[in-house]
Amino acid sequence: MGSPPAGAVALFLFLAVTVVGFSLAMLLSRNFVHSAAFLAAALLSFAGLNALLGATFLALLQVFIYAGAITVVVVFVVMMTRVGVGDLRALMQPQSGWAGAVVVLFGIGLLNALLAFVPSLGAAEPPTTTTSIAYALLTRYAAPFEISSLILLAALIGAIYLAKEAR
Amino acid sequence: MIPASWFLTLAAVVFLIALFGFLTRRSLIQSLMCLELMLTSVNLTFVAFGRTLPDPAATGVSFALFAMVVGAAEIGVGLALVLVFFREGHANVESDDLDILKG
Repeated sequence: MGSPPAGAVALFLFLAVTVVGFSLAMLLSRNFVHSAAFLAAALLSFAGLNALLGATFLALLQVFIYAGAITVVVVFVVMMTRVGVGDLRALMQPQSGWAGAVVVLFGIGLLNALLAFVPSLGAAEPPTTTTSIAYALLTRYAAPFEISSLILLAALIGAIYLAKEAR
Repeated sequence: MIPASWFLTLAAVVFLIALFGFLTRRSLIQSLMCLELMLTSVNLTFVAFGRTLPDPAATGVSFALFAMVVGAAEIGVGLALVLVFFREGHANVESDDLDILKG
């Protein structure tokens, strides 16, 4: 397999540190607007990781949809509900210890399950091109593609209906 | 290329951080933020597998795309629900206040 180039390793380590750091910052921030900003930064780092894996189209979508649109919606709702700054203790449920135990147990299982795949993984395949994604979406995955447009339409109408002022 | 196991481990770590946040936060808004982070880390897993298994039909990236669609729909409807909940007089939009079904 050969050792990976040093530049890619440095980039990966940088992105890994930023992803984990921004996720923790999002979790530990007491101000919800800061939380949303850290979320956007973490999602941008995820876009970088996708690009590092050769999925440039997905990285672009990640920036547009997640770091752009979804963050804007979250910030809107944070501003409209005016919730926000408080003591970290008051923001957490009392049963955090149990939650931590569940997360640790689940994490052991998850890492075991994921890393069990590693011996069967080959060396790097050629990266997926945008052309082949378009081809897959319109042939093999045509039905899920159409259904996902229906899901988006339903979500759009549902969100408008729910957020409507009059009742 | 960087080994896929690094990406898988990183995605799992972020997923677990977000899962802990999702389980422990009182506020529905922060729970939804953590949910988005979980979805994104799963997407990274899809892409990492798609890059290291033979994938002529672009399955990894396609699945990540569909997961993204579901995530966008979920956050849109979820935040609209949060807004309705806030308008009904729950100023802190905390999940503990959702107790109508409690016996």
